[in-house]
Amino acid sequence: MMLYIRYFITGLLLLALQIVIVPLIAIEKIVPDLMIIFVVYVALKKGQISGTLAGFISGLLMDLTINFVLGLSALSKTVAGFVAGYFYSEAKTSANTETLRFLGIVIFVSMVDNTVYFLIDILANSLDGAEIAKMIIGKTIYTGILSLIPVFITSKETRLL
Amino acid sequence: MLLFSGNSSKSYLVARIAVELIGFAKHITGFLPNFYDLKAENKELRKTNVLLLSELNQLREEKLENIRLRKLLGFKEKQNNYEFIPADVVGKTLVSPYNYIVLNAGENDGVEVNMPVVCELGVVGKIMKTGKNYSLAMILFHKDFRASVKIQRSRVDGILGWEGGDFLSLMNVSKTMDVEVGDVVITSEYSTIFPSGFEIGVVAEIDNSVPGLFKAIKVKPSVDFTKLEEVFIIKYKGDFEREEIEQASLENKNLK
Repeated sequence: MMLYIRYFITGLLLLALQIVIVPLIAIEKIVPDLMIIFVVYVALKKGQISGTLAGFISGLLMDLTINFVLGLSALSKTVAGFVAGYFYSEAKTSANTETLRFLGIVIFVSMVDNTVYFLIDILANSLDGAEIAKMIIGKTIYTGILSLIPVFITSKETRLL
Repeated sequence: MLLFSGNSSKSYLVARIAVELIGFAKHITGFLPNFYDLKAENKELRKTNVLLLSELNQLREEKLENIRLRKLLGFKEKQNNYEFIPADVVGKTLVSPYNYIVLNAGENDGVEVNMPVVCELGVVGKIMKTGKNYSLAMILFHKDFRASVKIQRSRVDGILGWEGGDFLSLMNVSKTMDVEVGDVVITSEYSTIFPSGFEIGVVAEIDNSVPGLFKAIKVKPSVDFTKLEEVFIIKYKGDFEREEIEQASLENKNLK
């Protein structure tokens, strides 16, 4: 129980960073998504259900405080948390979160998250295709780069491979 | 389910709390610069400063000329049935498909949802959410923004929206219509949200080679959102009588 409270507080801190700091490090209007890193981390540590739940809660909070489009981030992050849960393995928890494997999983899940997020725009043709591609790829790469920070922090012996 | 529950009293209360929290947070951290853009912005501002100084002298001359011509023609001032609420931009998001600005004026100042937001350069957007002391306004670079506009020179009507990128899109303009690069785009009388005649941007690109009946027109907004600091919220009372007539006409059509 205590661990989940810790996760929740960490999530809230990351959300605060996402609101206040992340827009300041935007490159060509591309911003990283700290919440997806957190969702993937929870999913790899605690499994699919926890990852899905973390995805839903963090997405909902993002909807309420960042996008003001209720439900869209909640949906994409829930799907992302669910997909991240497939990489969960009790025997490989450390390997998944403390090596470069984490980077790969974050990039893949971030791509899924962004694709679901922009799915309505893709189907409705409401945004320029090149613009959507730029946003999806840009956000995914930027998020992937930032996901190296927790890898370096948590890696006990800096065994990155 | 959440996507369609935006009008319940609970979600309205949560949204109000969120607006207050975001407004306060952005207000507190508003002084932090974007390091990536700071150098380029500084250079750009100095260049703009020089340009504005020369433009100022020209505008003073033109203002005097304008006063003389108005007197000469007995030009009747348009009656505006609205007042302005000044507000500072205390936060902004320019990095998502749902871009908005946070304003330090809210319900206590008389701000309501759908009120137009303008600055001295032109239309900024419209209010989308309100708190007691803060409000959120969707800017022109918001996926859901739409405005009824016209070309000032040729009076051609169209719908303005944003499809990503640095330009707005002027939609529903037939290929036979008279539109040129450099034409000023203004809000039209058809809009029930914006008062007519406010500048919104300038035509930057026209493409007639696209398939279909309409031109692809890119419009550069008059407002530079990266430098936007002060705005006015217009206490604009839409023409409700006209709306009622239009609504009644629609209902009659549906009955037939």
